[in-house]
Amino acid sequence: MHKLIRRLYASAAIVGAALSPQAQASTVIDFEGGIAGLYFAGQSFSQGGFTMTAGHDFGTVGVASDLGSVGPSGNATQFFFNSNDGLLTLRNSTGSLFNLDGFSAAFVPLNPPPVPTPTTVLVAVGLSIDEPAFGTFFSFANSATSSFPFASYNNPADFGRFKNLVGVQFYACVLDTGVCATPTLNNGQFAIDDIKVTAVPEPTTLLLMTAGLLGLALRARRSAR
Amino acid sequence: MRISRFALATGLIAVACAAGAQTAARKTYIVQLADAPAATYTGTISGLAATRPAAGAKLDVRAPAVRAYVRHLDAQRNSQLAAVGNPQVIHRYDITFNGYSAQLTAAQAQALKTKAGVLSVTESEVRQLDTTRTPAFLGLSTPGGLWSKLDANSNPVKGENVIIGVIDSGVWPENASFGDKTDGGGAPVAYNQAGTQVYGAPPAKWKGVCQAGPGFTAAMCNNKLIGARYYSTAFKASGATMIPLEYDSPRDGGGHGTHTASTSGGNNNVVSTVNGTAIGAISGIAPRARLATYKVCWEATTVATTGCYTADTLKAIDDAVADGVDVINFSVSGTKTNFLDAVEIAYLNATTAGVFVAASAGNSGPANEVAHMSPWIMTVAASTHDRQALAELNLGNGSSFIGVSVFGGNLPAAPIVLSSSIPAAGALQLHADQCRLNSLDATAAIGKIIVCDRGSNARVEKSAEAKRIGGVGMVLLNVSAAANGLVADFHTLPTVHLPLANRDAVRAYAALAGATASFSPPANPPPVVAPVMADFSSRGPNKANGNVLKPDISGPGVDILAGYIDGSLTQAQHDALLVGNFTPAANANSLSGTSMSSPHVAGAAALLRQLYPSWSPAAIKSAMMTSTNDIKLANGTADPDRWGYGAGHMSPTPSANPGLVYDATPADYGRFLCGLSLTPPAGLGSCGTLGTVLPWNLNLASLTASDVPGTLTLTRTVKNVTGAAAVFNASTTLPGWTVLVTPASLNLAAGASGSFTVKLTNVSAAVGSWTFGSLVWSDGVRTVRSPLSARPLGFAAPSVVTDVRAAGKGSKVFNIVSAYTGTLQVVPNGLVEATRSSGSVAQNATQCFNVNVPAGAELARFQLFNADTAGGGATDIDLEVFNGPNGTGTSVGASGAGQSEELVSLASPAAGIYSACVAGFTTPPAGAAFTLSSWVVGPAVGTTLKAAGPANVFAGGTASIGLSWAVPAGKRYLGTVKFMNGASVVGRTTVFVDNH
Repeated sequence: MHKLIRRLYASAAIVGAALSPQAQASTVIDFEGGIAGLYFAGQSFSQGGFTMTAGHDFGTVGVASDLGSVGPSGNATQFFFNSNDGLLTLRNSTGSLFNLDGFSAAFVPLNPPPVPTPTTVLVAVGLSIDEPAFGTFFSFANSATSSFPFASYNNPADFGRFKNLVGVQFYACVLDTGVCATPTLNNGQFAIDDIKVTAVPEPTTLLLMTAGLLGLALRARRSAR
Repeated sequence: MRISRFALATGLIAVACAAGAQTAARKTYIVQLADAPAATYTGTISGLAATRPAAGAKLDVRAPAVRAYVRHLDAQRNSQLAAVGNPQVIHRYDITFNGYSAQLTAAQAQALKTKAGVLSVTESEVRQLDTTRTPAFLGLSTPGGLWSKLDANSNPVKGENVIIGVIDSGVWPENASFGDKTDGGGAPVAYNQAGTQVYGAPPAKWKGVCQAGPGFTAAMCNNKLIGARYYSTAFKASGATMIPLEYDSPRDGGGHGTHTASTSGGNNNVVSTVNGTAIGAISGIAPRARLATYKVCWEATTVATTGCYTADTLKAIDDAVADGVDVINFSVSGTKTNFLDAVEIAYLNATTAGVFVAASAGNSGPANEVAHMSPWIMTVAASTHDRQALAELNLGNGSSFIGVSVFGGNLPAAPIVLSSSIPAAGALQLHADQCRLNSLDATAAIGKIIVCDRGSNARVEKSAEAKRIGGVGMVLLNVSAAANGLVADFHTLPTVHLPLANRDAVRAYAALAGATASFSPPANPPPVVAPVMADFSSRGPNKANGNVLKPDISGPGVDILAGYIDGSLTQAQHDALLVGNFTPAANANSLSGTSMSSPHVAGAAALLRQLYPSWSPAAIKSAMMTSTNDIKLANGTADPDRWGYGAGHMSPTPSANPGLVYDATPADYGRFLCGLSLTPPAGLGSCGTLGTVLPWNLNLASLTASDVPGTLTLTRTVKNVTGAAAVFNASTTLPGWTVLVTPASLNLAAGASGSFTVKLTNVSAAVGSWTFGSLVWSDGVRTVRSPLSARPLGFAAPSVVTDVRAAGKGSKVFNIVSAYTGTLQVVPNGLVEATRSSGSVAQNATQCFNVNVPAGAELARFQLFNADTAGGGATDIDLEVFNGPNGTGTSVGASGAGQSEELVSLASPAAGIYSACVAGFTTPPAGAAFTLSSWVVGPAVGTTLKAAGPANVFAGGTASIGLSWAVPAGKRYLGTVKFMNGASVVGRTTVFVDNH
């Protein structure tokens, strides 16, 4: 939504990282800037050290007016529009692990809508190294018109499992007694923005950093002597 | 500005220059104002109470509130007229249309368009008249027919105290159809004959007048013909001239209005003659109705100026509603495409005031040219009836042929001769073949039967020529398979009309020396198949919106016997009649046209109005449409083509007990217009408060879906009018579709309404083709049959996607609908920057620019903008494109809007040099500078446009298409997107990026 890419490289943070192995560099992917445009299925673009790939169907990075009357409300700047039955995959550009902490999203209906309009939810799927992929459903905010409002999803409890991931996939599904069994038939469109991710240092990186910090501490102790 | 006047503007350059600037040509314009007319005004202005009548009530023009509101409208008009220099006003409209018509220059008309409170300024047009046994054929006069039933006041259902307004060419009052007395034998007599009064005073709702004029006195009105008015102001202001035999009064100069008035509500059992030949008794469909005639159609000295002037017609509609008519018949042509046409809007407002309107579908069939396509009008097609006048031609060689003839007797054997063999000295052979006037030898055929060919001249002129030279009979032979219908004309001597198939045999024998023939009634007349659609009846579908069924219904319109004028009057007799020194004879005639079928339906509506005084016009229309009979083909099987007849053939008796009605309120029509992004007339409310309804969901008795993307659900509401609780069960037919009605059974208390949905799913119907079927609700006693029509959509993409955001780089998403499941390839082409050509045109001048279009081009587009024109919107320049250089070749597109926003777009143009010509319509005296933008896209130009489609499309499903582009800002660009399913192109979208 806003220009919120914040790379927390201040020395205090590094010190903090030294004090707690759980604290890492946090990023908000806000889709602003020159990445606006059309991405065919399979095409990627990067922001803030993360790579986003449009899957199955095309996506666009742009503003609500690009979508006409079905453009979502509550977002004056750029976001990612995931068309038809598309799928957005997000990975750390370096291949490192990361945590997903939150995002905002809105449903984007087709125009004219299918009759009857199915109840569609957003699915975030975490891809991790050591366990099977898992998904969590997020309900879209409702609307009486064809323009749906953005909603924010930041509750830490919802993201407790989204730790140490190699990737996250977002897509829409028609939720039918807890499973995505009904085809969306191109009615799985959504807008997504302000994806909050935190890079997790690799174990090797952590060891090196710990060794370095230990070295610093030893040198400090020596100089104190 | 209308494009028809674009041609005028370029064609009259010399005239305009000669006339000079001080006498700019004035024409009649109709100015529509924003406020509601009295028929629909709901009291939205402080201090002025509502004037719209309650449902089932009539507008009372004498009520103080109506008078006050009309005064308010008049004051508004006066201040506006003063602002444009008080032009000559033709008519002021208050009741069904708020506005006026006036003689204006183009500049005044243009100035008025931009005035606050002005909705539209359109030029008045000339519209054309669309030219018995039918009560028995319709089952009215047969035992158990509607005429034998009684209303709540124990009056037979024959139109008692119902007023039919006939807006047409006037009335011939000497016909007993229009008298209020009967003779000793109970037969009706005309105003000028003695008899016993059989009608009481006009009903209290009647507020109209009997207007006197040349050839028409107030004494000619009576308690049957209760009103007569005439409207010639716009006709005269146009510069048109009446023929010497016309009457500038309510008296009919053409015969059409007398025919339609007597068909709808003329007296029963009127013994008639056609030009002296007795034809038995004729009757109107609602023979006890009262009639009021409004003359708006005039016989003029040229064909182009003969007709019915819209500016006059609007005033007649105003007056008819104010006078208190219940039903209007309008057998006059009209718009085929514009729901906001002034006449259509006036009829919508008339409907709001509770007046039922029947109009003719038009006589341009079998082409798809149905007129009066608005859902609030009952649009009537024409079909045949079962009275067929036949005679047998018996040749001296023993062979005989049955043909059409109104001559019912025996013509003894007489010599028979070919007209071809007896030409007058110096006459052309073709003229003699066709028995044209004065083409035959005046002495060669005395006492003989003459054989004439059809074609060129009027059929009755042929018999007149045969009579002139002393013939005793005529055999009329068809010469072409394309015009092989047989017509029961009233000829001046016994005539038999035979088809092409008999031509050679008759001519071969008649060419022999000593040949003889006789006429006799047929010994074994063939069975008559009826009703069969008339070729001339204009066909659907609705060209304004395919989801509204048109025509609505069919009625008898071929060889209809009804009242007519006495066309035999000499000029001296006519002139004596003007001053009351001559009393003409009654007359009748046989005419064909949707003009003749529309008054049958108007009369039947009057019967229902008598039975159900509080029903809305929509409920009456529904009752008639759900009670129809089948139309047949000539071979007797059911006619499968619904576009001829809509719901089917009118059947008045069952329509009086319809079981269920599909009702619609004025607000529903407003929502329908809002759903089409049209502004409903003031008084119905704004779109913001009305909301919208999809055109296929307007609560009509017909269910029509013109573009079904695999599946579509229609909604309807029906009201139980059986008078008791009833359970109705649905059944449907629609070949190639599954139809699901939910609920399939409606249990309705008396007077209760129930809603249902009809889900259509295409199974095997061909894309782009219509399928016809029906939805039937039945309670075991009554059958409520609605026509159900659907056409599967193949693929729908917007024709144009426009982006006007001032950025060079952009993306856009739009939706398509496909009827198939599979893949979709999306092929972009462009963007192409506009070629800008500068020029300057003065008023009535033209400047052309040549543009080369290469082979394989997908699109050529030419455009003018207010922003690129000196004077902006105050300047009116127009655009026309030709397929040759410098304005030569054929016009392939034109744009003549007001102001200077003009656009001509040519899809897949053939290669060649084209020229785009800019014409000045209203410019400053020195001319207006402009810049023309033109684009040619293709065969393969530029890659700045990217497009992406969905991975899959699903039958009946919507999908998103993505576009992006990166071009320099500050310009206008054009591109195309082609949609392909495998190798076949299924759709195209033009992409217009205006980022300047």
